[in-house]
Amino acid sequence: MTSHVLKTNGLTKRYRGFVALRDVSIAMEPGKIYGLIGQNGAGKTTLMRLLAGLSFPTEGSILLFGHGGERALREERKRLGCMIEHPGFVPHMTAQENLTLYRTMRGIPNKEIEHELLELVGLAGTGNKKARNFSLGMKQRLGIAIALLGNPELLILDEPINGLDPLGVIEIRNLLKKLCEERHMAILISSHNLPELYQTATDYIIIHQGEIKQTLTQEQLDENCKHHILIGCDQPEKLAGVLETQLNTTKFQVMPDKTVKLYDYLNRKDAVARTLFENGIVATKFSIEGDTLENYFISVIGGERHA
Amino acid sequence: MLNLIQADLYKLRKSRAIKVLLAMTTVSATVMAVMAYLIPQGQIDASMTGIGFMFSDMNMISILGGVIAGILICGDFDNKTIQDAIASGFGRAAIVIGKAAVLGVAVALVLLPYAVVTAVALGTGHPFGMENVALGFLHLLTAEGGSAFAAADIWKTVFIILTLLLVYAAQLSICVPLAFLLRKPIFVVAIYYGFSILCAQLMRLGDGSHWFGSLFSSTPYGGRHAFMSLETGAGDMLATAVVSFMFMIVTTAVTYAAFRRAELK
Repeated sequence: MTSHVLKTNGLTKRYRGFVALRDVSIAMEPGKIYGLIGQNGAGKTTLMRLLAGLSFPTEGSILLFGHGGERALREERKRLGCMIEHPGFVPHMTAQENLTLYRTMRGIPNKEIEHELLELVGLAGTGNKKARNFSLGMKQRLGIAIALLGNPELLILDEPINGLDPLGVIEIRNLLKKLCEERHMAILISSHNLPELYQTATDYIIIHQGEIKQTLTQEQLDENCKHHILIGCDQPEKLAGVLETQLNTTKFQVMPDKTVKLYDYLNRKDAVARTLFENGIVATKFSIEGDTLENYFISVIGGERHA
Repeated sequence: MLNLIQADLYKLRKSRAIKVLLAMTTVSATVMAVMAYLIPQGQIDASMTGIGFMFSDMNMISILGGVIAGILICGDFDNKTIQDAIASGFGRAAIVIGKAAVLGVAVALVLLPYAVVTAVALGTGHPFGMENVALGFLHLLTAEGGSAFAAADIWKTVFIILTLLLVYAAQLSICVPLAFLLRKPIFVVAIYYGFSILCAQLMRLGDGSHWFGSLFSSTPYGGRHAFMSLETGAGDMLATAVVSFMFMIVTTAVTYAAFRRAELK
């Protein structure tokens, strides 16, 4: 008996020599919202497409609800809800007709679910308006409603808040949290809106250039974000060199305002201060500070080069 | 798979494009029958047969068939219905077979006005003619127009109409692999129209070469499959139905082989 809804092992995807995903191993548990964080082209959508069966791994394996292999995966995908890249819907149909179409396709007999879902995503009042005339936010909501058909146990959403107004963002956030808590649903969500993701996710998967750089829980993130030594000086380049050569750490980030955020040596501030002094660096600022998910992400994927 | 077919039929019912195509074939079928009626009477010059052929079932379906495949298959790649079906656990074989079946139904639906107009025109007992350019329903109309119908002929005409619909569905099944591979309606329409013109030339080639004629007649594009009349024997009709079914199985299998491991955006 497994508690994982999803487990990947050494998942690799190559396209004519280009490695889109490299040795990705992740595990997802029910009742959690996983924020998938990465730059454009980092491999977020490729990973989601592999999970949805739209693409095939070059190497590695996928286990959905404890089952692997092509036939079993196909069967287990019936417990999935997906919205990958752009929301899929038939433009010449209304929201209700689209839900009827997808409900029929998935063999769901309960017709009432259409109205419930339209209410849930805030599209109940769209009447005869065709989906092609919807705003971007309304299309996103329709895509989410379609993904929610059939009470999925694992929901995969690629940029679901793209195009939503601030109120819509809050509504979708609350909806996802509710689904996670009440239905014990596992949700994998990618977003470039990191402050928003920080308020939604319970766990994070940081992906960069096709590789998983870090997986961490909200608590671990809070712990990591809260603590760094903020060092201000007039020679940030020299300071960076000293940190690398004398303190043997690369866990720092040179900020545009020439301050340096050191994520290492948090319990050994004295050693840092002494090293700076011995190397003739005058610190104009030296304090323990907090961090944002955004800055933490930047530090994890390689510091200022990506800032 | 039945769910997929049911969902596609629901979409077809809601599609304005299919309704427009149906209206176009209704008008064309009527124009074709009127011209085929007026030409033998001399009210329209016999040189107008070329224009008359433009309104015939064979010519219309050569253009509209690709459009239907484009709407049904390429459109579903665009609006991600196929991607959603895969992500919902449907096998790719089920998706291909479902699409091929619904394409057959849609082709039959769009051709229905030709079947109805032909049946009604034959029922009037008037002679119809379009020189030697007639195929499919137009051929049935020109071959049997003016004949006295026995009760048994009515049933035979119904079977001929159904067999002709099957032939057309088989001919258009070539659009299934095209649509699954190219995923752009414009390419499917252009290639199928070009292919149908090529087939007309190959049919002439088949008349001059016995071995090529035999080979070509094992496809729904060759032989006498599109030249059915009350003269056609039951064995020939059965052979046409078998050739059509086999051809549809082949195109569906080819599509599945190509789509089985295809990457989807």
